Amino acid sequence: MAGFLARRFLGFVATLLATAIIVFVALEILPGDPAAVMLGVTATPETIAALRTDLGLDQPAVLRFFLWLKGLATADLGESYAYRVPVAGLIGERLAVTLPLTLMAMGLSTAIGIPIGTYAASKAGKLADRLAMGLAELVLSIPNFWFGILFVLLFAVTLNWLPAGGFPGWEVGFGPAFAALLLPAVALALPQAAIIARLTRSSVLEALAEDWVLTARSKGLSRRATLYRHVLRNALVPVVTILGLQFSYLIAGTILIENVFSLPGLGRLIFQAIGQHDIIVVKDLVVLFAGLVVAVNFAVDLLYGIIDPRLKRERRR
Amino acid sequence: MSETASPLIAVDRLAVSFGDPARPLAAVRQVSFTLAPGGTLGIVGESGSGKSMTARALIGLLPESARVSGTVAFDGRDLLANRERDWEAVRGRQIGMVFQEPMTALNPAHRIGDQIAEGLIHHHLLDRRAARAEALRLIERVGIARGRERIDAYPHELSGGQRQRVMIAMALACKPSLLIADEPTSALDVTIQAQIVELLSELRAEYGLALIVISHDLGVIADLTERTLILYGGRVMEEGGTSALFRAPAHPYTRGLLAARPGRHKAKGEHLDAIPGNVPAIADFPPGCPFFGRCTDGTERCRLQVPPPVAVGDSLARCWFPQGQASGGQA
Amino acid sequence: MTSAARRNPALILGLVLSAVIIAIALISLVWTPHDPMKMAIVERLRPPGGSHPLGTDQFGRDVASLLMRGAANSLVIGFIAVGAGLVAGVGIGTLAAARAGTIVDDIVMRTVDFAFAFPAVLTAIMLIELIGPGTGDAILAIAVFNVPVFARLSRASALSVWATDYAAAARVSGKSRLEITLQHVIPNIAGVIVVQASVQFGLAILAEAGLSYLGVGTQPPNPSWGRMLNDAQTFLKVQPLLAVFPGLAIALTVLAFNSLGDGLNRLVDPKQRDAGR
Repeated sequence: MAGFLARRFLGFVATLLATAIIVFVALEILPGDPAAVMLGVTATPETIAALRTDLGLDQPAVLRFFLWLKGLATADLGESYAYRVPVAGLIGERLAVTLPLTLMAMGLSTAIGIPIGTYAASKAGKLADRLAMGLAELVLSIPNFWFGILFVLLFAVTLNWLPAGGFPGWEVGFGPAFAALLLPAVALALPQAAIIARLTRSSVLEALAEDWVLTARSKGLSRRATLYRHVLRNALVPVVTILGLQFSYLIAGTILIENVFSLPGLGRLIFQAIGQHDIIVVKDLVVLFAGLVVAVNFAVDLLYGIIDPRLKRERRR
Repeated sequence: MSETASPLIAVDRLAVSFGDPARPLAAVRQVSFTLAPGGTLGIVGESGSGKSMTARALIGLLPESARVSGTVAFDGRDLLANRERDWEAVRGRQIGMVFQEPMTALNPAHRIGDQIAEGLIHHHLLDRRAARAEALRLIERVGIARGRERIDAYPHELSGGQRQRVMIAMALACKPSLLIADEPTSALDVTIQAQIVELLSELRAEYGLALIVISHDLGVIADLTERTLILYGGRVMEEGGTSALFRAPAHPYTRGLLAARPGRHKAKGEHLDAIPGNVPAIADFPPGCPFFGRCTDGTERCRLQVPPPVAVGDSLARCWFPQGQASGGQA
Repeated sequence: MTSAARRNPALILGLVLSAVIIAIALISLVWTPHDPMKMAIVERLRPPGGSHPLGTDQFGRDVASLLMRGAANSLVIGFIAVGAGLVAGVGIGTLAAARAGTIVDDIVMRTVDFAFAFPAVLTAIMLIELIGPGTGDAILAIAVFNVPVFARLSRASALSVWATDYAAAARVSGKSRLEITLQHVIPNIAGVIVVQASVQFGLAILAEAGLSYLGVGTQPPNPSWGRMLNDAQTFLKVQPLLAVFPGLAIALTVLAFNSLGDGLNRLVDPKQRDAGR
């Protein structure tokens, strides 16, 4: 297990490094001088040059790359060109919105998708199955930001139950903050729930055809008990795989959803930072996103070992 | 007939079919037999003979699309009239089953001790702790060394033979009165086969089990059973005392099987070279004797009419031209 | 026809819906009820009815006409983007398969895996930032997101073709890898690729709508469904229907091509009835 962990960790670092290089090079060839953008059209070449020196932009690219890497490693993410505050603080603030939002969406999509998929599989071919899968197909066709807008229309504008957007901050208390994240989380979760439901269904159906299902039934277990005690655990392995991939979709989805609900999260931050040529924020955020995605996939890999003992052994070798 | 007055299980005209009810595909046709408590029965046949479907009908685990008729009286109750709930009380508790493929018949995600104890807990025979102790006893009883460690092993950590031992322990956990072993040795190496046969034989005596062994391996049948049914095309071809039947087979199919028997050290596989042709698809069996077409003695009568059972010595053969018949006048 | 419909309802639904949508898009190029670009402030935010069957937007433009022209824009972007992603992806995938097990294969597939795990919208937004927002960037971003999908799929499918006897026979008879790829591999994997293309087309419509909603896709005054949704959000209290029609248009279009993909999949591989995604 230790060897496996070490190898995975090396892969983790390598992926992050590759991301960092790609992002740096991509943004290096970005047209537009951040100093000029920050100072606006009235800036003189002298003030721009002064600011460039101030920001360290006059140094060679390779040197700046390594300085940036050193900063990343020591959690010193530099200073935002646009907001003139440390990027680390900025990200921390925004993470308090995006992370709970993403986790809520992940929890919701799993909590909705797995039971529906399991139920559909247990009724395979029957009306309930067709309805559930038809619904999943429909949900997958609907953009999550339209879900967001419809939710605002229904629950905020018409019924006035929940806020239409914005975020009061966690310091005003859990209730209002949670309420502000609820609709966005549901909008983010629905398409993912549909994917999970479909995958769970096919995975459960596949497991139901296994020989050991008959063995379990031959012990006197009911169809239901066999499904819950034997089939589900085996069927969830591929579902867990998708959870890792899903995190990447969710992170991407936050960019849209945070805009729909005017939430001050990371998705909105990166979107604004790109608009403002706040390159350092963009670079840091992209690496952070990539890091999160890779870290979640890493966690998912560890989860496998718990669910499927066969995999654990393969890794011990 | 060696059955006593009150058989443990009496199967009467069992039939299993699939597909369109107007043109059914019959997998099992008119199979009847009885088995006394503690008795043994072998069911022999190639793949497609209906032997596995017969076994699954006895425990109520046929595929959903199957239609079944006849009666299976177990302890005087007709199992085929069971609702699902009644079946659940029978399976594992009164009838245990060992499947062919130990590699796939155990749940890969559960520890073997838990899989053995599961039936005991499910049938409310023991609590969790006592069931675990019993599982350990069974693991050791079926001959798995270092039971204390092995009880927490996963199936993939065991060899094929050990897995089959686990299957047997599982099937016997609730002390059923009937054990059905569907090809219990076919997936195993020859040396392991002999050990499993030995184990089944010991446990049968120890538990006072009635045993139905389903196999294409005549050696296993000879070692484990007193009586044998020869199945082909879903029909009983011949039945009788195992040793008598093997010594003096009356049915051409049984003779073919015995001639094809390569001794005990044959490689795995069910193909029988001594019988010409292959088992046809269910839909392609003739209306009469299913063996018509592969039989060397087939006539038009064989093709069109199902032969009635004819007593030949101690056996009953369903053949128009059985060998060794006293009268001999039919040929 | 009826028995075909019963056997493969997804295919029929997909064919009919996508045909209708494509027809509407084509018609919009020569005729729309009103000029979709023409503003008329006095007519603004009209409810559906009269000469404006779906009402008007905040500039008094006819919503029905905007939606029709928006369909044309969406489909064109989706078509070019998926087409480009398909060509590049299949090229990369079949190359990797032809060189299976070599360092070329390894490098190509690692890169593809990396691109696959990376949030696509992030790539899109970065790309758009590199070249400035506009239709071309939306196309490029969506195409880039499609490359790894087709590369993976075509490599996996191509590998199974390479494993066949006739591929081996072709090799022995001295055909080059390129010839085998063109003569045997591509024709054999075409079915799977077309199925995937249909599904990717639906996703591309979704992606374009998302980018336009963010203001980085199709630029005004060109009508686009995503942008219409963004505008509608401002007037949610005044004219909520403005937020309903474009969403319906997106959902129906995506549903059409998803169903088409499912239906084609059933046609290509009848065993794959319960495919996960």
